[in-house]
Amino acid sequence: MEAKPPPPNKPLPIAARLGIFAVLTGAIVAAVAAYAIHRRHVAETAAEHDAVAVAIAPMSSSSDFVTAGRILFRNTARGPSYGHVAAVSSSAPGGERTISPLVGDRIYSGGHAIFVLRAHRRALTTYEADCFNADFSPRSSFQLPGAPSRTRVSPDGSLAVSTVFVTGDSYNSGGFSTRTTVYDLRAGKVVGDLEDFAIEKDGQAFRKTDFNFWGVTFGAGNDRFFATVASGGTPYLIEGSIAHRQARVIKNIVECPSLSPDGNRVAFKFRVIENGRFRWSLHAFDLKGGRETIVNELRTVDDQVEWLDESTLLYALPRVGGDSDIWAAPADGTGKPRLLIPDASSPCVVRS
Amino acid sequence: MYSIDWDKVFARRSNGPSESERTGWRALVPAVSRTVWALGVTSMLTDISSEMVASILPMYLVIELGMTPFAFGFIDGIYQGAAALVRVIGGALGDRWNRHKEVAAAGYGLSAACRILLLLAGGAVNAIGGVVALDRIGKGIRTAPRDAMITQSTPKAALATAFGVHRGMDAAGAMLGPLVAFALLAGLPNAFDVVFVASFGAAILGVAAIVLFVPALGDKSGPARRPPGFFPSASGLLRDPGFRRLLVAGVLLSLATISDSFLFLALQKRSALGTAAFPLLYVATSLVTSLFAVPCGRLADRIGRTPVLIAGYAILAGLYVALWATGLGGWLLLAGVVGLLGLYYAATDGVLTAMVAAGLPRESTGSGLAIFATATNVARLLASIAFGYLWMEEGNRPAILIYLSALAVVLIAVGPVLMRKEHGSQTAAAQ
Repeated sequence: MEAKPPPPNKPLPIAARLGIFAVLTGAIVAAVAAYAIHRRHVAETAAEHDAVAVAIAPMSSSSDFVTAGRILFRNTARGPSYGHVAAVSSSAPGGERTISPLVGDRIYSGGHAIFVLRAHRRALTTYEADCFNADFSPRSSFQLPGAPSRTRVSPDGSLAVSTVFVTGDSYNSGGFSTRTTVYDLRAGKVVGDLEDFAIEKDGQAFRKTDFNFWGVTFGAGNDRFFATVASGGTPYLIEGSIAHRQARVIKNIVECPSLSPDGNRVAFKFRVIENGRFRWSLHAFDLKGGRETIVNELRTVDDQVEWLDESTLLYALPRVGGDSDIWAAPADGTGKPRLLIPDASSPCVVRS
Repeated sequence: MYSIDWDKVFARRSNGPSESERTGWRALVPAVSRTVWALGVTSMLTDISSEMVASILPMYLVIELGMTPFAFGFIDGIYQGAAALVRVIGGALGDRWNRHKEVAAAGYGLSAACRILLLLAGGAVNAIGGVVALDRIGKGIRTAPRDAMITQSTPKAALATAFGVHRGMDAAGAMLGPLVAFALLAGLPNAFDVVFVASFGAAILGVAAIVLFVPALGDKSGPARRPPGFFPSASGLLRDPGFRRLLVAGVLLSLATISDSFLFLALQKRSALGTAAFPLLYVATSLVTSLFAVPCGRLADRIGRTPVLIAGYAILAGLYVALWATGLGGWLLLAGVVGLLGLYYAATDGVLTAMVAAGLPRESTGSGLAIFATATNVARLLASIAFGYLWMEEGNRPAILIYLSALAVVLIAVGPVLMRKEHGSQTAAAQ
């Protein structure tokens, strides 16, 4: 290939180029400022009134907020209650929602304890996990090392777990890693990170530098748990004991497990590549029989699902424009997904 | 009417008094060409832009979009290798066409487009993965042609100063980016779109700075010597003992380098520092680098580059000692680690590039810098993986001790060789 000859045109005088740069700088600063002011105006208008599409019921008394048969979730309807922990009756999930004073990005509840993961968007964003009693009085608080992703509370409310994404580095130079921490809510103490647990695979110690843990789900006994550990791009399902600080791999390619209320089935995310495009589909399998079903949901689901009952799964799906809704689908692969709670995320079914 | 002849004002920079002839307050301003200043401005604005996004990306993806970043993390792995390849191609194309400016501007433009594409991608996993990959390709394309332009517009005796000016401005951008992003989010909670729009604006200004103020060097140098093509030029470079020596030295030093994230993680184990403060550590380190890059570069041009480079790595060794020793703790350790790390970057990054650039023939400057950068980056990646493994198996203090010993051995082995060669080439140049 021949080196191309330089173009004959002479560059503009430097004064003209400085002028162009100054004008461009002014125009860009003005455009960004105008956009920010417009955005602030929109946010302020939206914050004055709750979205009309969502009916809000006054809270009669805080003592009945966490009641069996209710679904707790994060309210994402635009308005002053945006981001608040809310509740609906599972018999009328599309109906009026009760709004609590608690605010969070991920929520879960068990044994009348409410566990909330939250980002404090200050000059330097900090993250924390807070435990509240059913009457919303604060019980304990923990610092989180990164952006909240998943949380669960054991059925009796004695243990909780958080998964956050930690990144110290620029996203252009390295990957993300997770930190999954178990808390003792009765003592208000950290039990430990799953990274420090002893993991076994095929009867041998399994330990990798690139381990990432996420998506813990608790069994009925408040000690047995399932979770995902990933190494070398492969996610494994582990089952273990919090008290013994150990777990073993029981299945390959399982992400974000969720144990059914009777403890017999596990629903999870399964990565599929279709026509070169990446997607997570939802699967469920029987712990005893191993029978696996594919949930009839063709959209990609990036959530740790919640069991509504022994046969129905709940999960949040993002909507275009940044909001999300909670959907329900039969776990056995039949039927069709249905919209259960609009403008909501982080579903949690109160069982006792 | 009063008017300023800007062409004269700016022309003075390129052929004005050299570094040593300057007196008074002017001695404070490094004498580097307009090209270097313009590329510094471009890099600063681009770094403000990219670090703004990088500092809020986990919050945006995980909390706002409810995504698991692994969704594209695993797609991303494929592109790591592609980025190294693109870097070499960027350097080679710049040489071949003698058009470093256009190749670099294309790389900056691609990354600028990514800012707005990221906003448009919304929660679409595949789209976000694609945008991150494009951004990485843009960064890969521009690095070598940019350093080639700094090299070709600077007399060999002032190369370390020129790279010091560039790296200092680059670090200033890395320091300002997160601060701007956090300030915007503090004023407008959840307004991630405003951050993306502002970041796009900064990136556009960065592209404008290179397009408007960097002269296309190919135009001036007349009919360029026909470039030999990448493979002949690469094999020619690899046969050159001077280049080979620096390449081996650079790779060995990189292999003994612990990555920033592990240093900060080790720091966190020693002090009561929360990981939420990690972004601040990067900001503070960049501040130190931006303040000391120019003085280090000028010193290197005066007293010799090898002594400054060796001093920089000795500072890194001191940092390892501080982290390994148990005596220190708390704020003193924190300030020590941030200060030493910032100084280490200031004394090594630009200086080492200047050493490599000084020995490269004009027609293969881009290829040579690209080969060097790719080799040292791969070495750094391997060092990071190995350190992670050692940390896991042996604990963090033994791992630091192993890297400290390795760094000491490499410095003792490499230092005298580089010193002798630099001294030799200076005497040769003087004769």
